[in-house]
Order: sequence, then C-alpha cells, then structure tokens
Amino acid sequence: MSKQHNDDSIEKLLSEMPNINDKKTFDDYYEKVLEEINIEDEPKKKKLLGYCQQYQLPLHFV
Amino acid sequence: MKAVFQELYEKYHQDLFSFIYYMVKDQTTTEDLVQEVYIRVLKSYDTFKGESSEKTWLFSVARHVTIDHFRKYGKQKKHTANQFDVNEHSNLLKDQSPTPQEIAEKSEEIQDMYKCLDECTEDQRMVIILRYIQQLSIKETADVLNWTTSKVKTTQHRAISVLKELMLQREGGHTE
Repeated sequence: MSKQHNDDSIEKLLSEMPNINDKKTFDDYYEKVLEEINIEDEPKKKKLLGYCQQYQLPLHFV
Repeated sequence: MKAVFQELYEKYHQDLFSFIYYMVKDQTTTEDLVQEVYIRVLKSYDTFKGESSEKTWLFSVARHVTIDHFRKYGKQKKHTANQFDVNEHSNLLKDQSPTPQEIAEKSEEIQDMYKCLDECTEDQRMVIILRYIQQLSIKETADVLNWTTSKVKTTQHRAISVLKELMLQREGGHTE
C-alpha cells in the first residue's frame, strides 16, 4: 500500500539518515596532508633561501 | 600541527566525511575532498578568529571545497528549485549508483530518500544534510553557508516539498 508522505514524515525520515563512516585512519590523512603542505611550502622556502643567500641573511629566516 | 589536526579529526572527522559523502556520493572523491579541507584548515588555522564555532568554520571550508569540486568537474546540476518537475525525473527508479553499507542496511524508505537527494539542487542538498543529518540549527546552517536564516528556511521548505513529491512518486512505483 502506498504511504502518504507529508512534511513531518519527510523530516523524520531525513533525521534517521545515517552518518557514513570513513574506513581511513587519522594516520592515513595526517601523512598525506603533511606531504601536501610541505610540497606547497617548498617554492616559498626556496625563494626565502635565495633572498637569504643574496643578502647574506642568517638561514633561520627560512 | 599534529596536535591541532588530531583534535579536529577526533571532534569532527565523521561528521565532515559524512557531509561531503552525501554531497558527492563517492568514497574516493570524498577522501580527496576531506584531505583538501584539512589542508586548507591547517594552513589558515592561525587566522581563525573564533567569530563562528570551530565546527561551522570547518563545514564552511568543506562547503567551499565541495563547490570548487563541482565547478572543476562540471557536475553541478543546472536545474533550479523553481524549474523542478517530477515528471522529468521518472528515471529515478533506475538509479544504479552504488549505495554505501550504512544506507543499504536501513529501510527501503531510507534507501529511497538517499536516492531522491540526488534530485535536489546542490543548495537544497547542503541545507538538508546540515539541518537533518548533521543536526545543525538554522543559525548554524546560515553561518556555514554564509546565508541569511530566511534563505535557509526557504531553501529547506522547498527541498522538503521536492523530496515529498519524489518519495510519493517512488512509493507509487514500488506498488505497481
């Protein structure tokens, strides 16, 4: 038999929708995120290193 | 950085993963987008001013990452709420996209609803996921989406109407 849905029954159904679980672990994400951030920071570091060498600044600026 | 990341992960990871999964409905894409959210969040964590809660800030970043993904891959649905016509979506019953285990274990109605969400616009789907699955308030949802509370209410109302029509159509299909 067909059920007659109304706003309340739709809202109730929606609130019963489950969370979807992730199978990956914290370490899986941490490793990749760290790798990505380091890759993105690399050109910046090289540029700073170039300035330090050009103007004979201490390397702790990098 | 690890301590900050670990804290965010422990507090919000499952909610974040679930939000993005319901938006893109693909495991690998969700993992990639969640990773992108963490990268953006960790890179800007020092500038987080605490004007909104940490959770709404995180979901706000997730929203931007998801929208960027849709723009990049051109999968954003073009139809708007006003143009929606259930008769155009009679092929909904033929949806073959894989269903996650968490949904497959639920009732037929929940499974139907999962598929009907595809027919909402991205805006409608975001509001529905944030309001009903993530249990955010109207105000929190407005903060995440950077909308007014009125716009959240209107979009939510329209989304419920669309889902009601689709569910009725599907229920009819099951009985035939």
